[in-house]
Amino acid sequence: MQDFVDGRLAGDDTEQVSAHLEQCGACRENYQDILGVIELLQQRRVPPASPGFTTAVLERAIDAAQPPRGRRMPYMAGGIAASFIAAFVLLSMMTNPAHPTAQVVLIGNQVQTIKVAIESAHPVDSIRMTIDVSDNLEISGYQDQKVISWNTRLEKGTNIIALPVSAIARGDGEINARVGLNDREKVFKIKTRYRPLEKVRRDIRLLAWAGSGPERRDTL
Amino acid sequence: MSILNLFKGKAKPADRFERLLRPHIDTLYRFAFRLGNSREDAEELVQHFLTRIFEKLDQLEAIEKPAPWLCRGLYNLYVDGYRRSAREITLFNQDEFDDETAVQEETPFRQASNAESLNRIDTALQQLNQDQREVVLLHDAEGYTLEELSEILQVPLGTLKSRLYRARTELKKLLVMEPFSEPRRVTGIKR
Repeated sequence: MQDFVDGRLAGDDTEQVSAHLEQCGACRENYQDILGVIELLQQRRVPPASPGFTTAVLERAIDAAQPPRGRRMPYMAGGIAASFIAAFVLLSMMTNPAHPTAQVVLIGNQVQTIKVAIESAHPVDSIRMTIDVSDNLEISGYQDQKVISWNTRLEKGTNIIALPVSAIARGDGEINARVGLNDREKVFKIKTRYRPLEKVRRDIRLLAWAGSGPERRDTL
Repeated sequence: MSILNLFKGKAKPADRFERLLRPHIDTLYRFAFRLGNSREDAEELVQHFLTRIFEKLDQLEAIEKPAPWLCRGLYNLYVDGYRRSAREITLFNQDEFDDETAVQEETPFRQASNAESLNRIDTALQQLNQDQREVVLLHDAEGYTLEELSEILQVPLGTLKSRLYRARTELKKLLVMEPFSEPRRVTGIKR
């Protein structure tokens, strides 16, 4: 039957199955049910990727493959490294009594994925995870929501939340990741610092210019 | 040597990479989405994959039809990552959100279809094992043939066929077992 549904039968076999379906109500119902399942699956569409995804994903892959630039652009190298390292925030749920805080640099209005790693000493079946962001930040895909919340669980060890965030206005910002268990709540704070894209570019130009002087050539 | 080849020899690797990969990004994204059902995860997987294959540019240029090779590589990376990071919480797994918070993310594709039925099939899909879910989504929803999937997933055709048929049968069973009134239980099944 399934071969018939997929059009994988030879001509004679197809005709035989077709003829059988006309006579057999049970097989006809089975056939229609399978078609119905396929129809439902086809309605389950893929949402479009983020705007500019194709260009951005290629640029990042190409950038990542470039050889290290050494002293020519120390700020850029440092800035990128800082944003990636700071963006991966390892937080211990059990050992830090106060609100653990980390800092992330957001460049322009680019979407950056901030990974929050929550270390749990034990598996926890049901927690309430809440993310809230300050007014100048935006969670990609949730443009009109400053707070999102859902139920999930924690496994023993490291549990990672990937949070795509961008700055929509200048200034410092804050992201709070709240893990709620019964009446208890643990808050992880991530401070964000805004750095305009044009300023990053200007710094790179200045450093490239400074690096082309005689002093640099002497050191090579 | 043709003029084209002369130019090809001089092109920068970054330009060659972009020219070669750009037409396949959407395919890779869609493929990745079908594996994880999350835009965020799909974009991250594609990014991770592209970063890794840049150094294989020469090998990639020698392949006549790169799409299956790319999908296979993406799938291998997914399987590897899935096994290593099975504990990850997927933030944008829509099933984990209540309706109020999920509306914005789901609107673009949910408006076009029956949300209730899609919710039901999503629930049913979660009951399948990973292998069955992948093949039924890639074949029935995304339109890959079994032969293409056999090449991409590196699984014998017979095994894939069996997985697909079991997945459909299981889905049918799960949907029919739903405790809703008969005419409404599955949109699209004609009775």
